[in-house]
Amino acid sequence: MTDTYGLTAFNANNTLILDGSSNSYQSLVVKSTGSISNAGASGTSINIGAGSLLFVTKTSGTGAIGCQSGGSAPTLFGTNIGWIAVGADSTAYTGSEEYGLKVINQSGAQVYDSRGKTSGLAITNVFPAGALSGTTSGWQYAAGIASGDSMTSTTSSYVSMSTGVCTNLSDIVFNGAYWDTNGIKYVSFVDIAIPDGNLNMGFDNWSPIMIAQSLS
Amino acid sequence: MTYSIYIAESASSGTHVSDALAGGSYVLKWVTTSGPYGGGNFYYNSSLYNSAAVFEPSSGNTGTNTSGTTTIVAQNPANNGDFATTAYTLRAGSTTGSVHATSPTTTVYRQATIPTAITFSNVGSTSMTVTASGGEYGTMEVRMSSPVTTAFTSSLPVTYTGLSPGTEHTFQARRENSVGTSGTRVGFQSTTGGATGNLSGTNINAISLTSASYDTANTHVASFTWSASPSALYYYTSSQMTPGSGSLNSSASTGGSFTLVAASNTSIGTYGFGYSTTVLRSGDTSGPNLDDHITYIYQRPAAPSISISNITDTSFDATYTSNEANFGALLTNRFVNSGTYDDQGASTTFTKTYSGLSPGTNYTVRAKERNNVAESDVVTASATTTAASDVIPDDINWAQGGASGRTYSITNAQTSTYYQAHWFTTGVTANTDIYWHIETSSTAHLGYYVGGTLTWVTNDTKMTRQLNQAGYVRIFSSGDDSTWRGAKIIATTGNDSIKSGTTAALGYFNVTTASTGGGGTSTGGGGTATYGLEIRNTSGNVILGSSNRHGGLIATGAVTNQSGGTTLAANATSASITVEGLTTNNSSTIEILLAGATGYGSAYALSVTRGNGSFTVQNLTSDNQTLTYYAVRY
Repeated sequence: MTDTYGLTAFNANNTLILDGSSNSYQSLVVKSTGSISNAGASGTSINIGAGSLLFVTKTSGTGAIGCQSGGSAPTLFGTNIGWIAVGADSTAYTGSEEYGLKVINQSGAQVYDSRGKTSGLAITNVFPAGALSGTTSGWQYAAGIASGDSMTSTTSSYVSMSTGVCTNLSDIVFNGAYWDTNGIKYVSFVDIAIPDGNLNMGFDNWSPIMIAQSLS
Repeated sequence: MTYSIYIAESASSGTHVSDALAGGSYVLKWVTTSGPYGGGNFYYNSSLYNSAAVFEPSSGNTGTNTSGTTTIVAQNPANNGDFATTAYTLRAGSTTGSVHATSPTTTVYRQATIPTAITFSNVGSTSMTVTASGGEYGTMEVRMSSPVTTAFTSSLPVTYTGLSPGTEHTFQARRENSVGTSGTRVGFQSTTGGATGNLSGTNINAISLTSASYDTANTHVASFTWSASPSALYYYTSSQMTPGSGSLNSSASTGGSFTLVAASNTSIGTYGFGYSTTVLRSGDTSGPNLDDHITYIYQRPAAPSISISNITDTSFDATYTSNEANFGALLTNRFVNSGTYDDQGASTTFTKTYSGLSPGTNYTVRAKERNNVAESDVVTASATTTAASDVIPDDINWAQGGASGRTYSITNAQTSTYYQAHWFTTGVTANTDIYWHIETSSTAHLGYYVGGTLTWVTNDTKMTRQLNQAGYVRIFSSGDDSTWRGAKIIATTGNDSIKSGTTAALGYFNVTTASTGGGGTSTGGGGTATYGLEIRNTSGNVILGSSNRHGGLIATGAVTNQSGGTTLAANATSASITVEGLTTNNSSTIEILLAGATGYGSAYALSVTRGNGSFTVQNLTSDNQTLTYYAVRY
């Protein structure tokens, strides 16, 4: 790819901030936020809009959060959930603010427009597919998870949930997360009754998991 | 129904003044005195329009208008050297073309323009001939305004007689037509002569300088006569008088004529003429003591010169230079019908800035040289200030420390037209911060909108910026060579913060993040950031940039396996999904995330094969399963 147009910005670690030289790059910006105090046994569906990525955190206490991804209306499981939906900054600004930074990419699409923005999302880590191991046995969703790789020691972090699968927090959880006092651990397992007994096994993350920090 | 229509400036008939050039537009206002014209249209024609009548307005007339404007394209005036241009009538009619009313004829005139020069000939001690030239659209007229005022005359050239010798006279010229007069050009000319005036001195007790003649240029005393009673010895010198240094006449005389040695050439200086009432004895070569008996004969000084520079819409500079370096006084003045000269003393050059002037106006300055007894001819120079609505002049002075410069307004801005703003920085050290912005009546402000043209020219302290009515600005950049052709923002550390790219790619900017770079200061908008680009919210918290890592979405969508099988069919038409910049092994910067929209585990169990420029999802076996994909670059 040859840079010929636009504004390209990198941070001190030489990671990308903005890329106006791209044909398709559009900055991930906060589209909506919300919270759920108790999602219930059947979970709580939220509407984040098509094309949005969902990040969740535990606003207080310990426990697991799972997600049944479903395009624009995923279902969340757990308690004390804070969520952020991020998506491409493609919506034209219609307010009256006149100062800021606007970047257009080579295709003429908006990469980023700072006007009206009051918050952001910083990616602090990304675990590629297969990098994390989930719990394998003895899963008790209420407390005391004994296995599952640690993803971060910062409990205020957000974990991507757009690739999650969850029926409830005790039977099937793929690409979920568990908050304890020491940080956040990866959760991915199946624990269901089968005719010959009980199927109980953990899984690696077959899709990348992103860890993020809210900026506001 | 009875109809009546007339052009607004002329209820019966008359004139209309416009400065529109040929090919420009005249706007004629029209009024109906009865009507409205139900169902009718208005149209006009003129004596110079031989084509079919043009409807005005061309459409949309509701038939209720009782006044309005009609814009017509100006013709090349038939009498371009005179003042009459084009006669117009307006006619009101119906959609079928029948004429209901015709206005009286109105003639559009050009505004007379100011003459450009007044010239003099046959200048004598008591008379001179005057004429003027330049300007358009009116009859040329001239008059004398000082020391006496005469009536304007158009019989040119005109000879004025009975003038006072050696006296400065002021003349005015203008053009006049039926609708008014132009601005007035002024000119100055002195009569020659004033013989006694050029012969002066002190302590002439017993000798009189009675008359003088001048050289062919009428500028220098060439000879004079003298008389003495009782008789006197005399001597002279051709340089600054030193008693006894001149050639001594050995016998007394009661008078005679004397021709100055260097009087007919262009040399300057002071001539001395002295006498003694004491008859010298033979051998007395030291000469008499004539200190009290010296008279100096001054040449008439040469006229100074004037040059004009730095013309803006409200000011200009006039530099006056004396051509008499050794003596005399430089007298300067910006002439506004009257006024006195400013005595600049012995200065041989002097520059004065005339400010607070009106845009688009002609001003005249004048100067002359004066010594003890005579004045030079008057010289003049003119400057016309620029029109503020057209070009913003090159004299915005930016002071260090953020002091603001001048403010200019563009009035009557036209759409699809570009206006240039020029400015210089003066007294600003190279590579220091210069703050500037554009404000327009629209919502566009520099710093957000990108468009139009911004071009650096010649150096870092002068820019030419073009902006259209909406105030758009575009920055052109190019190679990072020694000559800046793009924009450059300097950090307080002196290092480049944002600069043109290192390649010759047009318009490419790279935000550098070197540890020695800078992102601004508390006054520059970057807070205390030490790196690169940073966006903060109104609380001062960073929401993008600085040391954070941000992601971007480069592909997303939903696909449905409508055909079943083992390979995902993107929208049932393609087996793969295109992602810009994707390679088989750049998963550390581009990740593919899959989410199943229907069916538990449907996405989770699928494997992704990364290719160059696209990825393929395999093993989706159920019909009508929908999969959402995200390609995130970070």
